[in-house]
This record gives sequence, structure tokens and C-alpha cells, in this order.
Amino acid sequence: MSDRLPITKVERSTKILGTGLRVGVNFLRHYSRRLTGAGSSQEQLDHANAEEIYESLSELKGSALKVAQMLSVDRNIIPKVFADKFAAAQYSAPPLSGPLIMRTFQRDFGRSPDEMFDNFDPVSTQAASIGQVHRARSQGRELAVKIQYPGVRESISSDLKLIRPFAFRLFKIDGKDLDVYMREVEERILEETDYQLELKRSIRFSEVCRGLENVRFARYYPEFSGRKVITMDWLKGQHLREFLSTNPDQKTKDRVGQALWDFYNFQQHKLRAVHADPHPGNFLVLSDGTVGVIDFGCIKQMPEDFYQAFFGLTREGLGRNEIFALFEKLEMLLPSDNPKQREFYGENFLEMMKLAVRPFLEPVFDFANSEYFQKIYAYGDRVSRMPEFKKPRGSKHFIYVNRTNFGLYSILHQLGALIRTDVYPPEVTS
Amino acid sequence: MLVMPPEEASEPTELSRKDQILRAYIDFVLNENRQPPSVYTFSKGLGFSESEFYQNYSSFGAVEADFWVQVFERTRGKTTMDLAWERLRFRERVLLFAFTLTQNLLAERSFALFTLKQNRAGERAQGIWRRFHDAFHSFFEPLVSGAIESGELMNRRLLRDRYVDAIWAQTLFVLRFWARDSSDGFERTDEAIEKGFNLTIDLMSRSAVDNVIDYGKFLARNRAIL
Repeated sequence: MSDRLPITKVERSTKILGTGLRVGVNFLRHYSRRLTGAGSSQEQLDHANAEEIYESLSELKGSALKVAQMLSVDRNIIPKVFADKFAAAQYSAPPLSGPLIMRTFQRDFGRSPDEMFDNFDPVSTQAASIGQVHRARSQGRELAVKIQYPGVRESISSDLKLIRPFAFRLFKIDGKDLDVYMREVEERILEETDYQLELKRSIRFSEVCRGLENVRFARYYPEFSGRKVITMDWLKGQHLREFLSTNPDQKTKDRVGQALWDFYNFQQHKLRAVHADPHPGNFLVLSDGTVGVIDFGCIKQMPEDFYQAFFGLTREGLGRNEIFALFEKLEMLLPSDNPKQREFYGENFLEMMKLAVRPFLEPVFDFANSEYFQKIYAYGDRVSRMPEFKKPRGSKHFIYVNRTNFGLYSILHQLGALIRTDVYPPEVTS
Repeated sequence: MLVMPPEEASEPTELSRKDQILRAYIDFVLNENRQPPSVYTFSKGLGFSESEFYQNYSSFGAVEADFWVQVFERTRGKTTMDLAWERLRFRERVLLFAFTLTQNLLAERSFALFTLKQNRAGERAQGIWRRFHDAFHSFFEPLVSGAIESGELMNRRLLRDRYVDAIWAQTLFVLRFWARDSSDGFERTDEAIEKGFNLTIDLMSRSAVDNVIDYGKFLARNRAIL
């Protein structure tokens, strides 16, 4: 099979965009275009192309939406029009018909929604990538009932195959090398369709994380949850974007940001498993200023050796040889590299690593610092032009771990929050 | 000891004899995976005469036809009894009917598969499908009329009379799909129902089709200046 596709407008422009999926360590090369090329002709060009790609994507539904959502995780990486289109993709799946909802309930519970709840709104309030959400009420409690689209699970593999050529074109990655990463994504997405697993995890994670300050979780209802249905409390709050549009003061923004930092780093370093979906839509700022976390569908477990190697990089006073040894463990340097390649990749990754661990090196880090983010983007921009980085490198675990951490950084940057980064520090055994 | 009053006994036993034949026939097919060799041996096996069989059914085909009519009647009963039925739009009524149909067939899947395999169901509705088709037709025809009155469906010349046929064809497609479905809980059939009937009904509603026809008419009228 040839991965070559005819050169279209899309391909031409995606070269210009240089945005994207963080595959392996290669992710940073995509952090490029953010502050540049905001000229109007550029934007128009982006717009036309985003439109075109979106058209094809929207036909895929299900897991393709999930991938689109993954790509749009932070709107700064992807040009704005592009991100807006992807965000809209989340709302394009056709809603389930009333009879199919009934059918799903009959199968999961042997009862209809009307029999189960005091009140059930047959019109869904929002469509997510693999299901839709309904409002319900039971014994005075406001509930959110998530119902999965039928056939989502079966269609994932085929959808991902369909999206492969898009990924090649978008991210300029060689076909064969992409597969190991695509499998990692497929695995996670398959897990997301397992609502019984999600329910178990949601309950466990919200229990383990209960002690965290300013973080709140919905209560989950196993008695109203089944193979295709999950019921939880309806959290009332503002999405991050709405929250920011109310011009909150610095103290409030810092508190929200700190809650998110604590939430993620507690999971990474205490649980070695992390809510790997830092999509702004998965958080709500509640009326008391705490952060509500919804959706535990995507959890990334970190194997211990990956964890030790990755966060080993945050240790102070590492020598060059020690760092290169860690790079090898992380498959950023390969045994097959010749001395010249080793030198080349080692140096470039070293530069990236220094940027990535900076927030950990000081007890307090100001994520409003644009200069820091500009350096990241400049680095990504430079690397993306290097033919040597056309082949993806790095452990498959990077996909979700990077997505989590840079997703978090990006949200904190949007908040402009000042964060104490020495709480829940990495726990590295040397 | 329970003594049945003789007057009332005759009607129910006749009904139950018919039912008895149907059940015995299903049982035979499920055990042997074939039709009984003849009406004679079949009746004998049940301990009654051939003529008694023919008083109730004209052939084995007629027994199978009766099975499908009963499935239809049960589905119709359950569907229209639904509390929400009166409030539902045509689209939802059709979907509810289809979901209920496949749900009802679960208990008799093996026999349904047998008759589906033996008798190619077609739009022509011949053989064992005719009675099911007729009952289907008389149930859906008034519903279609109502939906046209309410504006949910488009009243198109020529095509309008084929609306129920389209739903019938879609129903047979779903049955065939269901027969081959190997997904958990026949989930894929649910998908086939949801997507298939939605499309069928979209086509019957005001849609691009009408605009194409309308535009075609316009072009035809204005051929002179084109």
C-alpha cells in the first residue's frame, strides 16, 4: 500500500500549518506556528483547508471525532480556525433517536428511562465524541446520563485506518513508523468505549483524589450505569473558556490553576496513572471556585520503567552521559544510531528536555510567562523543518503523557496562573 | 378435580389446537433443522388425523406464515401500548416498531432464522410473507396518511403509494441483517435500524430530492432559453 496521496490543497497547506499530534518526542516540532503567520491571507488559507479536512473528518464520526478532539486539545497549537472546526466536530454526530435510547435502557436495565428516573429529558444536552448526555432527576438530585452510540466500539479500528492518511498528511510522518503510535491511540480509545471500566475508574479515582484541595468530583451511580450508560451527578459550573471570559482576578485564576496542577501531578507521581484528557471541556469551574472534573474515560497508566526514565530527567545536576542513558531508555536514542546521529538527536532532545522540565526546577512557576512558551514554539518550529525528525522517535507512552503535561501547561498558560510546582513532585528513585 | 364446562371447551381447544400445531411444528424444526417429511407423519406424531391439521392450516408454509403474523401482532400490540405512542412522530413510531420487532424475535431466533433461510423474503411478499405483509400494510398505511397530513412526510405523486413498501423493504432488510448479525446483543442490528429507517424516512420527508425534482422541472420548462 502506498502512503502517497495526490498533492492537494490540503497537503500544501498542512505543510504551512505544521501543527499537530504529539507523536513520540516528535510532538514539539508541531508547536510551531502559534505566534507566527497570523496574517489575514494565511488565516484565510487555513480556513479553507480546515474546512476541507473537517468535511472529510465529519463523515467519520465516532473515533475519528475522538482523534479530532485529541488534536484540538489545546487551541494554541493548532491555528485557530482549524481548532474551531475540530471543536465543532464534537457536535456533529446525529443524536440517538428516542426509541434507540429506550432500547439501550431496556438492554442495560430492563427498564425504560421513565421508570428509572423521576424525570428524564429525552433531548440530549450535548453530544460527546462517542455518546450523548441527557439530564435526569432522581430523588431530588440532578443527574447527567451519558449514553454511548451503538457500534462505536466496532467502528474504531476501521475509523482509525481511515484517518491514517490524514495523519500522514497533517504531520508528515512516515507510514510504518506511525503504526506503533496509532495502536497506542486505538487502545486508549477502545478503553474509552468500555463504560463499565470507566465507571470503576471514575469511582476509584474520585475516591483516591478526594483529599485534593479545591478539586471536586461528580458522584457516580452504579445502579444507573450499565454497558452503554453512565450516570453521575450533574455538576453546575462554567467551562474554562466561559470562566476566563468573566475576567476573574489573579487569585482566583491561580487557585483554579493550582487545583489542576495538584490533580495531575498527584495522579502522575502518586498513582502512576493519569487522566489523560486535559481537554478544557472536561473541567468546570464551580460556583465556589473549585474545579470539577468530569469524564474519566481516558486513563493512561505509566509503566514504572518509563516513569523512572521520564521523570528521572527532572533531577538536578544530571551529567550529559546520564541524560543520554535516560534518552536511550525512552527510545529517543536508538542502539542503531551512529555516533553522529547520537550527537545530533541527543543535543536536540537535550534542548527540548531543558525546556520541558523548567516548571519543575523552581518552587514557583509563572505560566503566564509568554517568553517560555515562545521558546517552546520556536524550538518546535525549528525541529519541524529538520528532515531527521520525519521519522518519529520515542516510547509510545509519550503520546498520552506528553498530551497530558503539555495540555496542562497550555491550560495553565491560558489561565495565566502562578503555580507552586513543588507540591506532589516527581518521585524518582535514582 | 377440575371439570371443564363442556360448552366453553370447544372454542378454546380449537384455538389451542391451532397453537398446538404451531408449537409442535416449531419444536420439530428446531430439533431436526428441517421440515417434517409430510403432513401425515407430522399429524400422526402429534396423535391426531391429517384432516385435523388441514382444518387449521393448508400447508407447512401456512404454519410459518402464521408464525410471522403472530410475531407481527405481538410487536404491534407492544408498540402501540407504549405510553408514549400517541405522542410519537411517525419516524419514532417506525423506529420503535423495528426495535420491538427484533427484541420480540430474540426468544424465537432459531426458528426465525430457519424460515428466513428457507423463504427468501422479497418485496413481492409471496408465499409465507404475504399475510405478514398484508397485516404490516394495513397497520402502516393509516400511519403514513397521518404523517402526510401532519406534514412530517411529503406527499409526492406516484411515490407516495410506495412509502409503506419502502418501510416493508427496510424491515425485511433489517431481518436479513439481524439473521447474520454476530455482534453482542445484536447491537449492529440496532445501528442498522437507526441508520436505515432514518434515511428511508428522510427520503420521504421534504429533502434535497424535492429540490432536485423541482429544479429539473424548472430546467425542462425553460429549455428554450438554455
